[in-house]
Amino acid sequence: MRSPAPTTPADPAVRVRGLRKVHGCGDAAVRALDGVDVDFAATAFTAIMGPSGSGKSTLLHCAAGLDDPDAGDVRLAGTDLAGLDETARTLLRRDRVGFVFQSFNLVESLTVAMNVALPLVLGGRRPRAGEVDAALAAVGLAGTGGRRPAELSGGQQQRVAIARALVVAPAVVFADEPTGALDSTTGREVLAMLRDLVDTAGRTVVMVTHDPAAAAWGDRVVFLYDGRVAGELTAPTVETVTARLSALESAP
Amino acid sequence: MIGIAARTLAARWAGFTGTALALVLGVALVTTTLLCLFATLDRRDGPPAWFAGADAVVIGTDGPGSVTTAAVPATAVTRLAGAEGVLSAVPDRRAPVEAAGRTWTARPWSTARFQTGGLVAGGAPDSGDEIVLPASAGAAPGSVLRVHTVDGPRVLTVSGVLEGSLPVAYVRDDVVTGWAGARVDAVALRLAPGAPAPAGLGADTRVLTGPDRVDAEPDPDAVRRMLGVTLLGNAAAVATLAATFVVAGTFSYSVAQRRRELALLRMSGAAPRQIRRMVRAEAMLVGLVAACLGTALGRLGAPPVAAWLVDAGFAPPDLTIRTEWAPIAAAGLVGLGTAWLGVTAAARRAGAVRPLEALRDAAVDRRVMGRGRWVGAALLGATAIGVVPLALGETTGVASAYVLLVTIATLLALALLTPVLVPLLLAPVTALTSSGVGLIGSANVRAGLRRTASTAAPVLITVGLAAATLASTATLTATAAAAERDRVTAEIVVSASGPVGLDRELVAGLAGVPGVAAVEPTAGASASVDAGSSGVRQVAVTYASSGIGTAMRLPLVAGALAGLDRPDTAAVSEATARDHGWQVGATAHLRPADGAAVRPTVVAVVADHAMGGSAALLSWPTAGGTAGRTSPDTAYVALAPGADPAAALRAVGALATAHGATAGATGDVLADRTAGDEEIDRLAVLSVIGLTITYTAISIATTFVMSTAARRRELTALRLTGATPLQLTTMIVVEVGLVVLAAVALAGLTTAVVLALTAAVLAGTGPLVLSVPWGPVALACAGCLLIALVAGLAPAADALRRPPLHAPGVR
Repeated sequence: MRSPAPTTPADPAVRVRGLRKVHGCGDAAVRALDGVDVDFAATAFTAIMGPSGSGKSTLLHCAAGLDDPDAGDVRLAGTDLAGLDETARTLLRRDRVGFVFQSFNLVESLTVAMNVALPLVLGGRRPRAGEVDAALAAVGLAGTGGRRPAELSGGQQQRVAIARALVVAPAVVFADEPTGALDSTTGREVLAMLRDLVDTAGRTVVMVTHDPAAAAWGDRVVFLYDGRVAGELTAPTVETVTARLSALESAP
Repeated sequence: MIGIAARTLAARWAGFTGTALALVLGVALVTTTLLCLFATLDRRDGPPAWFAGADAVVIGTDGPGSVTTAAVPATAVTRLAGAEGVLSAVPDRRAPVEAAGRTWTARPWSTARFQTGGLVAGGAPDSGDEIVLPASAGAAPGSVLRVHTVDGPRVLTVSGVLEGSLPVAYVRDDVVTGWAGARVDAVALRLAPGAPAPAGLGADTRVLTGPDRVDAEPDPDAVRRMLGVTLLGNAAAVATLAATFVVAGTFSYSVAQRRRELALLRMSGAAPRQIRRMVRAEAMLVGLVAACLGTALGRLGAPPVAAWLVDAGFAPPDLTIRTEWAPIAAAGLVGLGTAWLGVTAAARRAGAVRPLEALRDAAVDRRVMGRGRWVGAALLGATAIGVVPLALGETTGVASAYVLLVTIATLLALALLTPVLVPLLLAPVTALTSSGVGLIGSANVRAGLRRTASTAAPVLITVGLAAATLASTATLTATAAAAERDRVTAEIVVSASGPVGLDRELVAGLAGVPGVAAVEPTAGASASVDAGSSGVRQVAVTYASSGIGTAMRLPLVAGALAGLDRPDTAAVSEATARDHGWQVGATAHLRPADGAAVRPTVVAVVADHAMGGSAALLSWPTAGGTAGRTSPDTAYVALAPGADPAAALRAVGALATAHGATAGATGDVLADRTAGDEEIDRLAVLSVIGLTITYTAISIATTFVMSTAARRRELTALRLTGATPLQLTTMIVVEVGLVVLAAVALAGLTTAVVLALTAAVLAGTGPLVLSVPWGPVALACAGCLLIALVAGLAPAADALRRPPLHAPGVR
């Protein structure tokens, strides 16, 4: 299958070139990424889809600087990740990247407000008065700052995670199956919130999902198969995504 | 449920390892100490040697169960001589002598025929300057020997040599009587064939026959045995107590961690009782394994520990460990009992888990302070407060035991309250923290209360026990030493270096040294006093004469010391006078450990602080008259005004050396004595601290191992949020540092309370000398901090090394 020519807007938020990654070694080696070239445009909502084992999570992890590729370059918010050590990458992630995970990843011992303020606090600055409250209000959770994560519902926890991801005004928000642990109604609320981030706040969102209904919220869907980019869709709908996906899965 | 318990153990072995380790160590320590105790108490294996040829031996006793021997009452001696069936009754008197570089017990030649082994050379000591020694002494008949006796150095001729190696030197009967005084130590009996041993001699005698006759021989290792028993008893008690706490802590932690799992079991139909039984069964299985491993380990560890005890002088040299089943079984049962006790609270808590909790999961500990903790803390606090008046009413010796009780009760109460106290203590620190990492660290400390409490409690107990006991012992010793230095006005102190004491010629000779104005011989002894309802009390007494006032300051409350020259007189301390109603003119009832009961008339009452710990000063004639002859162990030498102290000390020193004693300037002698006392205290306290630190390590490490999974999730979330490895390390160090800081603060509070109590106990004994041994205390703090840091950073190491991706909880 031929790699499609990547769409290249003036300055993509993330640029990935020739990315290769092998998990494990010897007979158990799995080629997770096998030469991936892709750009994630700024001010857009991109979904990454593919069957299980297609390498979509690995792509997200490498693009976000959470994982080291075996070969290839990642340019995140204008910075080349190659050559950065773990601390430098952590600082880059803290200042320029927001994460939303399926398992929320909130710090249970801290209050909701402190969880949201965490990236600021770790960056060595005290949140300005009202800054955290505003971030919580923006995700519809005004007044919950004093509670512990465990006292909130799953949907509310995911919204706390979104507020935390946004509090540093990141260049990219990476979301890994953000609706995986939520029911469909709550999931839709979270997706609407991500959509709104792009439309109203002008943010960039890259989301990995296996759910066509979730992918249909994006501006563009990138399909992965066997560690390679296997096409893409712009202005996706549930139907077009489902059709492309089943075509991929039935392909030899 | 037991099946589930076994499977849970198998699956969660990591969490139970700490519990098992604490139990194994506890059981091993108890096994070792009990085996050593058994070996120590098992006085002798051999058959009677001194009285092997006697049909029966009569000795004196302080009463049923007493281990100390006393003189045979004079009435019993008289009655025995004419008793029916008694062919002969030979009184045995004993006096210590030094010859050929060692100490011997001098005994009357008439008792030699009862010992094992007869003459191998020479004959009886027919003359007053002859002596018979065992073959092991290596002296041939006719050889001349310098012998140090209570009368002074003598030159005696060896008249005969006996088979064997008993530490006994025989001399003519009247010579021993001269050295030993009126006291009869034992009466050896020959009975008519078939006649029964005499009975009905009174409660203060024992009639020994068969193998029991060995009890009539003095136990040369009695003091060492007692020290060893005390040390071992302490160690066993601390080990059991600490093991119970570690087990209780780890089990309650494991129950708290498994709330969800337990709730799932409840949801699948397990009744609260079944849950309780399951948690108990887990504890019992751990206890059983620990009991088996621990007793085996303890049996292996006993011989080296016994060797150490012998080396350190805490046990007789012939201490041998045998596999005895009684102590091993007892130690095993202690292990099971400890597990049972430790799991009680945890089982109750587990039974109270509601099925719905399966649906929620909270890493924040909200209800750590259960009712049990409050009630326990209240009871312990009440105990501590209740003991204070008891301690204040006692002499310093007894009071220090109460002070230790207050220390332990206070520490345990505070340890139970750590979930409340630690956040309270850290509130100001948190308020001052501006750096982000510090903020997160202190939030973690307050949110993870269970983990915080599990770390703070053992640190508190270790540091608190070390600081409070060391400081209060050091303060007691230092204050007593200062009081003693302040009390003694004599310039020179002559001390005996062996059981013979200061001989008569030395004491007489000291008075003739140029420049010496007065010589005051004294001897310390212990005595039992009938204290009515509270039973028999052991007190310290000092033999002295009316001239004691020239050697030390003795402020009188009533009466005059002049009466101390008469037989049967005593001066008592104010406290003793109050406790027993022994005012001037009253009759005191005492039984010195080395003699028969005495009833001296009280001639003076002396201020407590001037008595140096003694309850009474008994006049020297009292010692000589009824209690057998006692040699002085210390002589205070006061110099005449204008005398050259250096010249006097040289002359006194030369004389003392010739009589097997030592002399020194008062300040130096008292300082040496204090240093010796402190060394013994320090050894005892350090062994206890060593034990508690071991348990602290186990306890803290177990807590951290068990919380690793939860901890990793938390660290991963922080890493993903942008915390650098350095920030996480800082956060953990801050967290651990804060917990240890809070625990040390609480330990400091306890120490302050204990020192205040010690000061109150010491009030009136002279100027208070507060003394805190900073070195060992700092060592205990540093040890705890190190253990906590290692335990805190170890589970995080993995999360710190790699990118946050691979930790559990992230897909």
